[in-house]
Amino acid sequence: MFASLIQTIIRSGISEQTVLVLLYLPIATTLIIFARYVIGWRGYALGTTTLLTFALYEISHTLEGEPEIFGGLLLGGAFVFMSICAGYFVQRLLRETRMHSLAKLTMAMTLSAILSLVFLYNFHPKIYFSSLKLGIMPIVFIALVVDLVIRNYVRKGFRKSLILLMYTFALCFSIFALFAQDWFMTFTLRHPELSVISLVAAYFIGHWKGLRLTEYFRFSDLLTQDDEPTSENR
Amino acid sequence: MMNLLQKIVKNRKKILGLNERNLTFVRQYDSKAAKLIADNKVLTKKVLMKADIPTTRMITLIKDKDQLSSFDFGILPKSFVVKPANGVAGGGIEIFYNLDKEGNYVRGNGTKVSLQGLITLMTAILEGKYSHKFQPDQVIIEERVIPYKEFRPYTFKGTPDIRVLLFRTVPVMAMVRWPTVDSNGKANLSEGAAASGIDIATGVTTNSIKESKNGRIANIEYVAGTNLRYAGLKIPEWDQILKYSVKAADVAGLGFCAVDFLIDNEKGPLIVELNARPGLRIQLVNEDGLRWRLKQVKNLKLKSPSHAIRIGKDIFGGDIEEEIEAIAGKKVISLIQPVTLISKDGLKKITVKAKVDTGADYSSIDTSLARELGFSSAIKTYHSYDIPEFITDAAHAHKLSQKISSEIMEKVPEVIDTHIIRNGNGYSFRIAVQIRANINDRNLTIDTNIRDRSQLNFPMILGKNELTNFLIDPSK
Repeated sequence: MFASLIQTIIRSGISEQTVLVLLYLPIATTLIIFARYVIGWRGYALGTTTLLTFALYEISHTLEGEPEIFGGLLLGGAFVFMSICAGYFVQRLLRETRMHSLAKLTMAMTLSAILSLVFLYNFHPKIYFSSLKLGIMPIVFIALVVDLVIRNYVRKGFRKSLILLMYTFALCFSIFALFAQDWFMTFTLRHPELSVISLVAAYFIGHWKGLRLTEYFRFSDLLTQDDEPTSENR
Repeated sequence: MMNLLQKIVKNRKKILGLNERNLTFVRQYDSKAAKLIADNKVLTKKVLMKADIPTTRMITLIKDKDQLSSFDFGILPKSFVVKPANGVAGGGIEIFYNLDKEGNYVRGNGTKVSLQGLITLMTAILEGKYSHKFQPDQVIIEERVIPYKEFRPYTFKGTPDIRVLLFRTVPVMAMVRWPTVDSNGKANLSEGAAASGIDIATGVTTNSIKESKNGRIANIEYVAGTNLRYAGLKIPEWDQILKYSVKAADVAGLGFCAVDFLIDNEKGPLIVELNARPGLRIQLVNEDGLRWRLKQVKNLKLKSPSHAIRIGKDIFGGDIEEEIEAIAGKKVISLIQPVTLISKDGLKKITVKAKVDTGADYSSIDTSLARELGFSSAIKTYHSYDIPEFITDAAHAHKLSQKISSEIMEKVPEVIDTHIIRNGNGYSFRIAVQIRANINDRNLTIDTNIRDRSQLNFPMILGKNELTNFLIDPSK
């Protein structure tokens, strides 16, 4: 029933890619909350992680409209790296300067955009990336990540904010890598009920009160403790 | 391997994870209004002051940039604390210890901040750099707490922070966080501070841990570079701390929360923060899970704040005691100790309060109690001999014992011995029986004599003969 509905929508003129992205959205968010609440994977907010995932997905598309995993990772990773550098550099440089924080942010974004431009000018025509479509929105979005980088840097410090960003990026890339698989695209279009299943899964994850997987490591000492504390283990 | 898995499956039920903390405890037991109070330090102070609960003194509050630009920094003392009203995880908090001749404010690690630097920090706070959801915030300037002098050898620069975790106003777990060189004088575990668990009943520190910068947690014993043990330190004014924490949770309406204290050398314990979403590391510090403790408290009927404290102490205290018991292989009992006596036929259990008397050679129980336990025939036989209650002469008492002891024991096999007891009135001759008993979870058979104790305060005394497997704690 769902599959025929999707085919009808596609036949009505809406592009297969648009339909696919809309079907992917609930799956992506469910995977993110699964990673957060069941595995205990740290990362940026749900919205940011989802957008970064789709930015990678979009950026990976070739001129022929096919997603290219390696290209997406390389180019997306490069843009993210430049955003991080711009964010950290501006924040470090202007740490003691008395000025409005939004102005600092604007300066960081400007630097991020310039770095991205320089990167594209130098590398795009020469190597592998020339086959990628390079949509505008994913690049703009990745440049905006600098906002989160700065905020986390201020609050958590360099090391912790970098780790958080790496975790987020790793999750985004994993989901993007799944979405870019031909078999998964075909499967999702043939079984759009996967999105409905995601909804049900989200409901159950929302009620999950058990320990997160990472908490089994965090509390390993307590979990492997003997019943009666002894002088050795107390 | 199977054994390990069994342990994990069993122990995971004791541990509280973030999911359950948020869904079951924070959402259900902390109202929105209560969370608002806890999240805003200005509101917290107002609520606490209204309830006469001591808190750190606020020198001034800067609400916006206009107030900041017109603020007279000359009114500030040499030593003070700057913090955001809605700060998260200790961000934006700066402690200044002195003002140098050039007008720079001196931090704990000796670095200096110019007036301009201080204004930059305050501007960042006002812009919401350290607040929840990066919303515009307010700057609190607070008096610096002078650390309690007994704590000084344990800390580097800063002030140790004592945390009491409460559920339904019952104190369930506690810890103290020690500023270290690694944490640069901050009592923040994730930044390298050390932490010790606190025994709720006694306020004495127990196990200690320290988190390295890469997030690894290790047990520690000594203060870095010294022979000073973290364990075994009595937190001053512990009962007062429990009292204030229960009262604070109550007035703020927080069902599940942590109350953070600093101890001022002169003013004593001062509440510095209420936390509606306390972290879960406290479980690692105390080497015990929170979940089972919270479940214990969930359905209890609480009559008053003092009742809540008593329950917390009774159920969750005793860590020190357990440690002593584990080392000595003996149970710790109090001077007035509940003892469960099992009747001769094993069908009846009677719990009485026994007086522990190290001056008495033998244990003794009241005649009516002995009857209830099924020793009526022994008592009847004893009374059939018409023995005087007190015998003034020792020789006469021993002569009587020689004459009738074996006769009684022959007639009533449950009489295993007879005792001649000396007291203020002379000597008394008593029969002794064996009774199965349970003292502080230890099953044993005690030899006890029987006498009329109806005029005495306790129906039973525990004498030296039964105390070899116990340690006595008079403070219990």
